[in-house]
Amino acid sequence: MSTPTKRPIKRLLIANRGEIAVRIIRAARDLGIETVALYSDADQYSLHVKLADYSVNLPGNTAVDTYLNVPKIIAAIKESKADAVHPGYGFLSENADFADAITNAGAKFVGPSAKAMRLMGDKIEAKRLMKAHKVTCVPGSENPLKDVEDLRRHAQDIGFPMILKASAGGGGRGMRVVRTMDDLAESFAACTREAASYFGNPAVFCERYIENPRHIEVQVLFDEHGNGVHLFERDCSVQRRHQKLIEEAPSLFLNAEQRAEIGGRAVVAAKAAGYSSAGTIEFICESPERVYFMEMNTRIQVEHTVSEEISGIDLVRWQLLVASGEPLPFKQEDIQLRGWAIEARINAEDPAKGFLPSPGRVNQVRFPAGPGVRVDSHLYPGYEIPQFYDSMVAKLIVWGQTREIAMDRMLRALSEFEIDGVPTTAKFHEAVLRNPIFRAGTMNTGFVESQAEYFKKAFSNVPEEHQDHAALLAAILTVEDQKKGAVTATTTSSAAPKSLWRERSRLESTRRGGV
Amino acid sequence: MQWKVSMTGKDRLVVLPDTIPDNVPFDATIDGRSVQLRWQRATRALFILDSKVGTAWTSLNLRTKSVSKFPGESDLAVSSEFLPAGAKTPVIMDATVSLHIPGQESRAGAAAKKPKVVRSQITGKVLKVLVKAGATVNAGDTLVIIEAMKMENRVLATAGGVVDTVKITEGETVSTGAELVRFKQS
Repeated sequence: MSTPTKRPIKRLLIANRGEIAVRIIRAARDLGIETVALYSDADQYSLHVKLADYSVNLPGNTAVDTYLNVPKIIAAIKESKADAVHPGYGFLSENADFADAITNAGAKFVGPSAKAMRLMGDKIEAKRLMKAHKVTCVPGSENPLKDVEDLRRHAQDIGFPMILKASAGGGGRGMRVVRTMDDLAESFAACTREAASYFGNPAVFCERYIENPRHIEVQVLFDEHGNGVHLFERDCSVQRRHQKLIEEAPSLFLNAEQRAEIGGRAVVAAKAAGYSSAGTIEFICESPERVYFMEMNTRIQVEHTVSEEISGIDLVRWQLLVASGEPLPFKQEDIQLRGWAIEARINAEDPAKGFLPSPGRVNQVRFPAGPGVRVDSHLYPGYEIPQFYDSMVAKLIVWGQTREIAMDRMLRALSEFEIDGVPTTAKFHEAVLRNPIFRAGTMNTGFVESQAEYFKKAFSNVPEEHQDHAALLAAILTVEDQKKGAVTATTTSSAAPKSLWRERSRLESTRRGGV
Repeated sequence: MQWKVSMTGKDRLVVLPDTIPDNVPFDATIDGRSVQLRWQRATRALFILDSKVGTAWTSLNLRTKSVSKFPGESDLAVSSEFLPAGAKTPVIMDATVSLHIPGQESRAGAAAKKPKVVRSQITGKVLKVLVKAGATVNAGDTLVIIEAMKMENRVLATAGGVVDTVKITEGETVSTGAELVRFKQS
């Protein structure tokens, strides 16, 4: 640390798990801050517990019993005498009541004020604030809809398709796309009902629905003295069912002028909300000229790494420094965009089987390395991936001078990435990185669905010349595993034909909620 | 030892030594053709002597591997992914491997008498059981919903039948290979 702070953090509790807990511990250790890990029963062998200076068990396994359990976490803060809490992403990271509870327990919440979190968490309030500061929003209603007549009037202005959204909604729930005037009444009633039952607030508003937009978001960083900068944009258009899979920074969609424009708007938006710490302003882009404010994420995000790579700024480090009262020592003009960064999320899911979640034991793991390669992960050989939490097990981040170099480097890094034990999304990323649309950078959020045929081929097309080798490898792996006792084959049942019943059931997976 | 490897709709007969030596060349055959191989245990790489390049070994670098073995079932489903030397794209392969015993080829009759069982392909918590004993199920019907890694996974029937017994209850945790639903013999 270069300059002494007024209220330096001495002991930081991390109210999270997995790779982000490891990431936060690393930033804290760089600053000489002690760390306290929390862990559920299922996470007792997790890497963050080993890396932290202290650890406190949260009895139980489910998220509700552990990482979402405010009383247990508050007790752990008191027990460990932590003076600050980093919430990571997901779990309680955007819960203003949790931030209040931490403050009341005498610790510092590493993030924005509860007031700013509440303001940006209410979609109607957030939109109103943005409009007041001349940030363009998707055309739609400014207030909660009074009744169907009110909605009908808006529909005439906005046109179809339009989307109804619960003001207090989130995570992809409480939304409804309406395509004709005839469907208005029924959709309005259903959306109001859902809003009331899911979020306890029946307020619903409407917006123009933009089909398959580009998802572009701007990283901002503010201190507690009103100074703030943006760290350029990220393009997160490669998604599957609203789940981001590949993120990159910057976006090929914007030129330098548009980049400065959208970044400037994000800073204005965050400043208007009285924001401090790291945050993200999400925009939906119809075209580079038609960029609309969507929402603000008041937390560190999974994909913050690509912004770090192109700006050279360690965001988690600055979250900790900002929380200890440090002013930002740099201004917008000090921050240079350098090169291109891409992040691939490695999830324990099998893309060849409809992204079937695959918890289990990781026997072997070997991470890629070399110039421009970074791996953020909590994996180690022998680690058992629990079934209770998110399926993301690693983030592979590459940096290159140009997008072209970064893409080729990602392919090289993926070819070195070795996980023995569970299927992962690594092979999906490989297919994306070779896809002509992705290479050209013209993808939108409908990319994965529209390229379904391409991905199917990529997973099933084993070149004829390699099939013999594949068969040899399969047989050798079976012999090797058998020797280790991992699998057993008996001669009695060996010649029985393959059971049809394995093929008589299949799985379909749907994500619940979202991070 | 002889192994039958089923892959992309084709069976291949692989003959390997009973124990695979570490980093020492050995002979194997695939469908009668002989190949010289070298398996390096520490790096988990398989080297194949490439006759086209003379004495050069080409490496197959294993990238991911997962094995699912269902109790009571003989076959091992091996899913692996590797990068052959010189290949632009990795070979992603799903294979079923079973021991091959000459003269015991057909056991179709025995298999037909085996109970028809749907097993869990994942480890997770049973959220909902949507069928009862005696129920008639059509292809495409959801049998059970299992929650794992924040996802709802619907186990769908891909063939019709009459439910004999349901082996699980809601709220229970099941592991991979656990019996979910048993069907009546048709």
